[in-house]
Amino acid sequence: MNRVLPASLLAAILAGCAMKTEKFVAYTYAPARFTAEVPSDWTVIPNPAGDTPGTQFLSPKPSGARAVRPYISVDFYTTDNARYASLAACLVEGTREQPGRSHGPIAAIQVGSLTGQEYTLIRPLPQTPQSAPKGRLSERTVLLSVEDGFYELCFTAPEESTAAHAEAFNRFLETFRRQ
Amino acid sequence: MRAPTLMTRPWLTLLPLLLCLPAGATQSSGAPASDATRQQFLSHRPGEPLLDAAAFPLARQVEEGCELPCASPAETIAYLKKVMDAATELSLSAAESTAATVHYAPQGVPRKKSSAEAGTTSLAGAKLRPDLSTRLDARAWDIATGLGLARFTAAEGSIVGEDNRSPLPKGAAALDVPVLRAARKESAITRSSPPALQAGATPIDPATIDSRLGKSFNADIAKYPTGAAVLRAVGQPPELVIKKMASHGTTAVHSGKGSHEQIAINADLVADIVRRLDPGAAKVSDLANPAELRRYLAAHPALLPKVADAMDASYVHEMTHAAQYRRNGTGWLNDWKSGWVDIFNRGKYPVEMEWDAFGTQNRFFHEKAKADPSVLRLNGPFPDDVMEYTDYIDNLTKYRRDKIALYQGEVDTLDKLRLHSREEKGYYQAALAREQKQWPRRSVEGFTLMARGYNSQNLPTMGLPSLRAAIDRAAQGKFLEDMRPDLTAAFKEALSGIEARLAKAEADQKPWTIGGLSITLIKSLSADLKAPLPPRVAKAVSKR
Repeated sequence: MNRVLPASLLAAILAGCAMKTEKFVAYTYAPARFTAEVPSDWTVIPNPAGDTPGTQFLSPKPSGARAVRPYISVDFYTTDNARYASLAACLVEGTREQPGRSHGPIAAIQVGSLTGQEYTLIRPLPQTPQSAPKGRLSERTVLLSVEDGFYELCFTAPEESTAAHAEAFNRFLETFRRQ
Repeated sequence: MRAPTLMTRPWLTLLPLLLCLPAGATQSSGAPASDATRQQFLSHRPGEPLLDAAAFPLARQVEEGCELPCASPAETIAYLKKVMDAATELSLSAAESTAATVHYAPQGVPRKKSSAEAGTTSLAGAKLRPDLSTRLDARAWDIATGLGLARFTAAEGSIVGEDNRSPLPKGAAALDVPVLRAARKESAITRSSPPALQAGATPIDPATIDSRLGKSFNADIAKYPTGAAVLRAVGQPPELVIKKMASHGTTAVHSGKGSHEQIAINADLVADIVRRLDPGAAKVSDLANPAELRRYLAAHPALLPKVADAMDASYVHEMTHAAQYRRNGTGWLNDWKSGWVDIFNRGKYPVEMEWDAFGTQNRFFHEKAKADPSVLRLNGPFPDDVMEYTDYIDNLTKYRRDKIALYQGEVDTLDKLRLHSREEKGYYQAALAREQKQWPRRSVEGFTLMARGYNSQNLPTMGLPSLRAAIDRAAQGKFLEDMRPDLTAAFKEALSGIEARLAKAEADQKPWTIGGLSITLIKSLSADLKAPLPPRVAKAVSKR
């Protein structure tokens, strides 16, 4: 009992340290004409040349075993983009029946002054020749209409770590603005 | 997946310091070396009696020479380190240590270990000059390696097969080296090999399995344009090794450079594939043990091309990494340079290299699926490549993001990495942009192939959503007219399959209904592709 108490106290202190408040910074990405707040220690990876204007915000490397890093992504599709005829077409594509994939209900959403629709897609975890993690990936997708096209905002994370990073995406949505 | 090479380890930059440390700082725990022993070590020539292995194991190993093939800077450095350790073992002074280094690695070239004890004896017995003896030994090994006989010295029994078909080099016959005599013998055996051996009907030596599997992979990928291009870019393919890996989830790993380069494939995975291909393999209790697996494959060599066929896309991925390394050169200077690049980037390498490798892997698989859409079935011997391909054709941007999210600590984008040349950045930027440009059509073709894959499995309605996606993407990309013939053919194939299912249901008097979503898709696809419906399908659709 004498040993349990200090150990519990230490665990509580460590847990408190681990749950420290995340620091956010405003990030503006001119090619996709948006600004939003992201955790300051996340890595920004703009889409390569030739791709749709967009970017990926990658969370820090998790400690312990190799695992998929949760990430937020933004893609801006102009009205004349070569991929989707409209936001609705993107929605149909995203929720198309495919082996190993399923999606939740499609719901309306408002982000700032923008309106759109959202759904959560469940799909298999990505694999590499070195690693084949087991489990499923949850991808919360928010599609927002703008006058010259639409945005696709995604929060992608292994199912088990979705809750731990949900705050980051909620803050991202709260602060997302068209430039 | 790229694995770090010995040359890219940061500790190697400390090697010059290591070599400058005075030897003898730590004393050997064994008996102290006499002056005579030290002198013997400092003046030892190949072929002369060796030091006692029990008393001075390190010095003995140095006298024997660098482990073959000893052609890479990493092996050279390991040997030099061993010389310094031996100097410590013998309590040599700093000056003597330096002399030993120069003696055993004149001009930085290490003394090479004999290809076989017998070979050394034979050359020594011929009373050749010691330096000539060493060079001839090394040459003998090179020739043996060139003949694919390097394993001969390690493996028991004979090697018979396609590895050893090369004729002996001109002049080699004059050398009285056992390994060359063996080469001539093996070459003669191979030339007179009966056809049954080539067909894989006769059990073969397990020691040759890795190299045979490597050849099967190379022959397999050469059938497709992307595979052939990768082979051309690589030149001499790296050695392939079946290995027990720490994680069951690892498929294959490319590692090393130059003569030390290899592609390792996971024995667990190969064993799984063998079990799926050959139910008889289930009786083998420890098939994932590489030695057991080699024995099984040696007894069933017809499985080799099937294993290669099942895993070829992953092999192309690793071969792409081999090609990427060779773009930067394979000499020691390039190894040294890439070591510094790794140090400056804290071991991170460009994620663009992975994106390029995944892109090449999927382009290869795309060509394979075009030749035979049935490879897209998920109940095949290795469905991982199919899953990989479906993710790739679905969304290239997401596909690349998922990869960087999984590779995490070991990669970064080229713009954040230092010391990578402008030429290298330009190369990957151009390659990825080219893929981005080609991808929309490939995606449409891929979805069409997916539908045809379902048709080939007699699951025609399963492919209808893929056809819908293909048409929508082609229309948005403004190349629907180009794709129309292929899309129409795939849709007609699906309709024939559905018609046949309905006809069979009628004949068997077992009702079979088409689902509501499929009905909707059949109607829209028929309208968009202007494809008339066969009678039973038309009747079923009109009822809804």
